[in-house]
Amino acid sequence: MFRYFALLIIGSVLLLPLIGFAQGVHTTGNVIIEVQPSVPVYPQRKELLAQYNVRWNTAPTTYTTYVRVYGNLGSSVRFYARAGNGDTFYCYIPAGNALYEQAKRIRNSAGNGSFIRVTHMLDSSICNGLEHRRYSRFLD
Amino acid sequence: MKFKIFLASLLLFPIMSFAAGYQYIGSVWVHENTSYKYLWGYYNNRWNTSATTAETYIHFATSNTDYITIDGRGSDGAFFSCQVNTSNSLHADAIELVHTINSSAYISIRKPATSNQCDSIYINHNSAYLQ
Repeated sequence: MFRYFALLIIGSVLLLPLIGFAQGVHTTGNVIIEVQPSVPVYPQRKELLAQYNVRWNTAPTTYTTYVRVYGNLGSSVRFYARAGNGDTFYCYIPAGNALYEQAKRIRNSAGNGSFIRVTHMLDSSICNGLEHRRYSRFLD
Repeated sequence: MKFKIFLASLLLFPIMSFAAGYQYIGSVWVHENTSYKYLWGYYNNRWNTSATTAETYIHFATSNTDYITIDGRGSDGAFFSCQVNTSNSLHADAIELVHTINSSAYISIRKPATSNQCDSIYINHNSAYLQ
């Protein structure tokens, strides 16, 4: 009897990891800067993929990483980031640009939980693509 | 030989061991000259535990009458306050900022010495300024 009881306890402990997920999905943030497509067959663009919770990423890198969206009210909205290998990303959206209203909202509100994806062509500093997502999984 | 490798590893360790996420906890400053008064500060001053002469803060507010007040207190105890009225060209953008500014914000606000209207508002939402 004791043996069956012991087996039940051991079996339960072994099964625990399979059923013990925490409810909320969590993903540590990163800053990724890349050129797409990698081969210059077509006009190339530089792409930034970044989560604000990179602030709490403790994995060792050569350079500290960050992402920021900034500017004076009424003027250009600017995007800047640094990746762990030292690569940097910069582009801006001037007032009057078709993406300006969207860019202002990102500048005014980006924070914990934010994921941004920004692109610009290699021959221009003006951003030509913007994406702002707010994921629960990127909160820290 | 192994000891030399161990020694070299120890020397290189500080160069290679940055944490990925850059982090900075800021403060609040108020400065004025004959022409302008300024408020500079980080919302994360909330978590700054270094000793200062005065407790620091930043405050954005809007009301039923639709004007916006921005005020704060610097680490030396100086106060700052300015308003953005509906006739101010910054009003539409500033009112959105009242509702969206968060703990990753650094702000720089300016007002002329002769007016209570904010005439320059800079905002920087930076991952490094999250607590």
